[in-house]
Amino acid sequence: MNDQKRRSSWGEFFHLIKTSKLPWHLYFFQIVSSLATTTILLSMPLVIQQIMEGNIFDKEIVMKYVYMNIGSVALLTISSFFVYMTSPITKRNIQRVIWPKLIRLPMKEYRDNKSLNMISRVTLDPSYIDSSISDFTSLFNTTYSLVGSFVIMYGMNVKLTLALLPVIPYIVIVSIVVGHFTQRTQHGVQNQLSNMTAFFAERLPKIRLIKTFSKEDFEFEKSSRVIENQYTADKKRAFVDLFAEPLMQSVQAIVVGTVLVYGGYLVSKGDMKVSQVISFYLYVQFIHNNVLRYGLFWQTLKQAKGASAEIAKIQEAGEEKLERTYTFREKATQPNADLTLENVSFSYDQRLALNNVNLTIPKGKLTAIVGPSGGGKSTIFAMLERLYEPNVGRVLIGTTPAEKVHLDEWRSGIAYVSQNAPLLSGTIRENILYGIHEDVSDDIVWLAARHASAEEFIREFPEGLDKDVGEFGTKLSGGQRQRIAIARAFVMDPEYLLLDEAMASLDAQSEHEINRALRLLMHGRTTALISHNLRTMKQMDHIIVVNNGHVEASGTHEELKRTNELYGDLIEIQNEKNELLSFT
Amino acid sequence: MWKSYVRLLFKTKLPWFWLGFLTFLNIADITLGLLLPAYTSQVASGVITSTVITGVVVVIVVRVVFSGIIRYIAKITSYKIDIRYRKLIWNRLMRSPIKLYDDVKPSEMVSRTVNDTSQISAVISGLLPALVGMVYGTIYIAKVLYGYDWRLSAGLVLYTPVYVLSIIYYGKWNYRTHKYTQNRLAGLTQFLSELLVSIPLIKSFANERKETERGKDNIQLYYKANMKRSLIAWVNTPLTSILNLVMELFVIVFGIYLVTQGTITIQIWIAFFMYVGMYFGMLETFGLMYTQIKQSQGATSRIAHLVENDLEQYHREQEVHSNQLDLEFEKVTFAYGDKLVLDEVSFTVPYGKVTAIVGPSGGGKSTILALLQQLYHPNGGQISFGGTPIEKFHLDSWRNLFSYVAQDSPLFAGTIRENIIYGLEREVSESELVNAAENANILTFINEQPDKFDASVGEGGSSLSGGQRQRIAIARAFLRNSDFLLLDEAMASLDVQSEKAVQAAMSVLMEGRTAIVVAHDLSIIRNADQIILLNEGKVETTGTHDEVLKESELYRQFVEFLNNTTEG
Repeated sequence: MNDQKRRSSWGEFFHLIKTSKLPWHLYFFQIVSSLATTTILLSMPLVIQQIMEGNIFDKEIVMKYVYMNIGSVALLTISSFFVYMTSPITKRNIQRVIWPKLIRLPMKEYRDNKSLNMISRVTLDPSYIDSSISDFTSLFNTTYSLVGSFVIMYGMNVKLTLALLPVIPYIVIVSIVVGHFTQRTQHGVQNQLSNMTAFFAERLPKIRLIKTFSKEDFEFEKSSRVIENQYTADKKRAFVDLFAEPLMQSVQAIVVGTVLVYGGYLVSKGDMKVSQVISFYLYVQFIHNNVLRYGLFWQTLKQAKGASAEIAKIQEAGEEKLERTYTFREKATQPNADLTLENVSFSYDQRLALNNVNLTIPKGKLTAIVGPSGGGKSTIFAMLERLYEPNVGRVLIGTTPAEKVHLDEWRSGIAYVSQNAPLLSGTIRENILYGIHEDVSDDIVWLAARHASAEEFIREFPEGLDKDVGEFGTKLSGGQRQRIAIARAFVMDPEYLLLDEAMASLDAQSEHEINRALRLLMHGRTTALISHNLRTMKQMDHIIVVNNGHVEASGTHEELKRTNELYGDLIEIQNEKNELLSFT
Repeated sequence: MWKSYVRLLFKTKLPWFWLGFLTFLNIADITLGLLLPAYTSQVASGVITSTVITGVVVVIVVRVVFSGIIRYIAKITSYKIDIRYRKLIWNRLMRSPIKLYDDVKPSEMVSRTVNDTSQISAVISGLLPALVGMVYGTIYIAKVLYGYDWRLSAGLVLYTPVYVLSIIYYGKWNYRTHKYTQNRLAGLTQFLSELLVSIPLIKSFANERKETERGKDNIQLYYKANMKRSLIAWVNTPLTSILNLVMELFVIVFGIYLVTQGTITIQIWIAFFMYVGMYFGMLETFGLMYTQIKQSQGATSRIAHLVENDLEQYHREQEVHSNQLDLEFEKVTFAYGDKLVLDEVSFTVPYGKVTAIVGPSGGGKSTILALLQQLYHPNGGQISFGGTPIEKFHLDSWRNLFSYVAQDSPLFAGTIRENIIYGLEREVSESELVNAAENANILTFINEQPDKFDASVGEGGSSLSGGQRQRIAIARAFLRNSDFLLLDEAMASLDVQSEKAVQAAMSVLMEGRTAIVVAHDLSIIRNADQIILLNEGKVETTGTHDEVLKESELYRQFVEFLNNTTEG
């Protein structure tokens, strides 16, 4: 099982590489030019050896050395040019594959994944994949250089070369041991770091609480503990270095030591020339770096595998299918185009949110959905909007199952105006025209703004409709945001309207204006309304009482008052409040 | 650029001993390293005696062991500096006026405390040893070379500034594009985070196609910045290669000339060759150091800014002795930046009574509560308590007079118990706790939890509903038992049922205390002893409900609004 999983995650890695158009020709140039560079670098010690042998006065050899130096710099410049240029292209091409997928996932995926994690699918993961590919291409060069230097050394002196061979397994073992301990302690550091970050992040937004309770000293003492814990974890990590660093350095020491001691011995026996010891000395420099490269490559490859597994999850999650059989229009304009939930059950993760719900939002009528919070009212809206698919049961328009109606048209035909009207950064105009694909004249935008009681405050901005609303619309007040969202609904002119009415955060005046705008918007449309305020119930055509994930009762206000206990209770609480409100 | 460093250096006690020790180790290491060419040049010129070889081996082994120690000490030093700065910053953050929190986002403050500090400590712990080491190495090598031939030495010394300046100049250039790319990346991240949070919006407006295009545009922008940065990074390769090559050619050509002249031996020439290699290694380290400093520049100035900010004054003239006194606002004026919020506001809050502050939003109601707790200070006018200006009281004892319950009561991750006793200095008995919970109408809920009072509330209280969090905050207020109660729209954002439970708890809490209530809820307003009607930063009227109703047209409208709007 585990093995199979592992294999398939490699498959994901290769699949991703295959589907993103990568600049293969650039990788090819990279390989070729770096091989050429290495060829020169490999033959240089031989020239140095000749110089050392006393040919220092031989102009030809010296010039050869000079030319080779210049040549290697030139070639290195060229090959690194390809290396540097390829990386941004690769990253971008992978990002271009991921992003369109990311934005078309089914709603469920966004619920399960934190948005911060999803961002790194685009920003971070492509870099891992990019570096693993470029490390892989450089591996050609590494191998070439490693084998090449051994071949040359072997040609010069077999004994000394063989004496150097055990160094390679030594490097591997040292790297693995060091890597193991580093990773373990690094894990502790990361853990502490996220603890510490969480500690600070939790307290800073609550500074008023801390200050008003005079807990500054207390929180400072607490932070000391967190900070010291971080230090302890850091120290453990550093302690590994106390051994790791000498171990890594020892490779170099052993190599150099072997060449000098054993080489010196061979020279004294007359088996080797001094100049050869020197070129050995120069060649062994290649070994260390190149062997380490393999280890590094293994690291990046593992990271890339992890990254592509994450990306693959997104690709496998599948996209929402927008294209279906019928257009929304042809179904919605029929006379009996009621919206119906039929035996619908739905759960987020483990929690059952709707349990066998049957309800109808009659065409052309005003329907209220009431009940205690957490009872499933918003989930019903999500079903009607088809943000999620029911686990069991179905959604109907008239007699047609919703799955047969184009998804994008469905969603724009049923406007959802929620309590915390979300805006996106951009201008007011862009936000009012959000989701509109054709050109719309300013007159229509202003008209919508007027209907939404938004005209007045928009006119007060010097930039008018071009006023920048800030990220999530934070430069506007809550009431203003809400009215922009209503204006948006006017422009869309939907057949159906889902209103989530909760205006707790608004003051009385803007609440009044918004209510006026909403009433205008509801006029002539099929409307479903989540209401927390039961004083309006008499005006409803149809009321649905929802509790604990199922429909308790439905009917008119009078009917429900007589027959449903929960509804009666809710009304009673409301009435008590009304009594307090009435003033004489 | 250097100024902020110098300023920061003396803000906290640095581990000078460790810094000094580290510098010493560095010098020792360099000295050992400098012994090497003397030996290896002998090997190269054919002197392979056992003394030479032992010398080489010993130097290498000692250096290997040393490398670990140096690295360990360097890291420990930098972590010690981390602690100092983190504590310094956190302590200051806790004591900074709220104004700072209005200007700087919490997430930014977190990254200053966590990330910026480690950048700075890396620089401080690395800079001094590296700098001293480099100067020492330069002098040492130049001296040795001078002993061989003064022209070799002069060539090296003259070339050094060329080399260093090129590296610095390039470093600046590189840093600029690096920063630009970072900004682009931040732009891309912000774009993505906004969209990913707004997915329901995108879906319900079926706007995926347009957003895909926008995303691709953003990716392309980032790509362009990235490409530019890559190309500039690439320049580094030819630059350093050429810089090294020039010096190397000088050494070879001039060296050969000297050897032909008989001025130096081949052995010296080889040693020279090696010294030069080492020397440029040092210069390169210095270049890296420079880049690091450059990159931490932002962090440093941000921290310097934070550390030089004014703090709140805690210790003042007197304790709060008696609390059965009236609070008085006298022509209090307050502005957030340019925006005038309160304009010469005067009123009295009588002891033991309930005062309700009402009026349209943005009228300055919450600001009054903030001023009372001295979270901000009036720009003009005076707030006094029994005739004494409130700035005269020790800040701790003043703030302890009040219990503040806001619309969204913040909890800390932890147990219910920890949250209820938050802010209490004394031991709390179990029966007290039960009492408070019962009064706050939350005891039944707590008893339903498997862990009772030790049930975890989740991060920021997320595993509780708004109504439950609110009631825990009320229980907290019961235990705190302060004389003044400040309620800031404490009932908003609750549904009908929890509102009822919270309201019941609230009225018990208000008994026998002086309460100042900001509310939109007529049931609370009507029962208040005194109503202060606030509009556009001015007090319109004060009095009881009936009085104000008679007197003020605005209040009549306001009440009408409250009645009508709740009717839909």
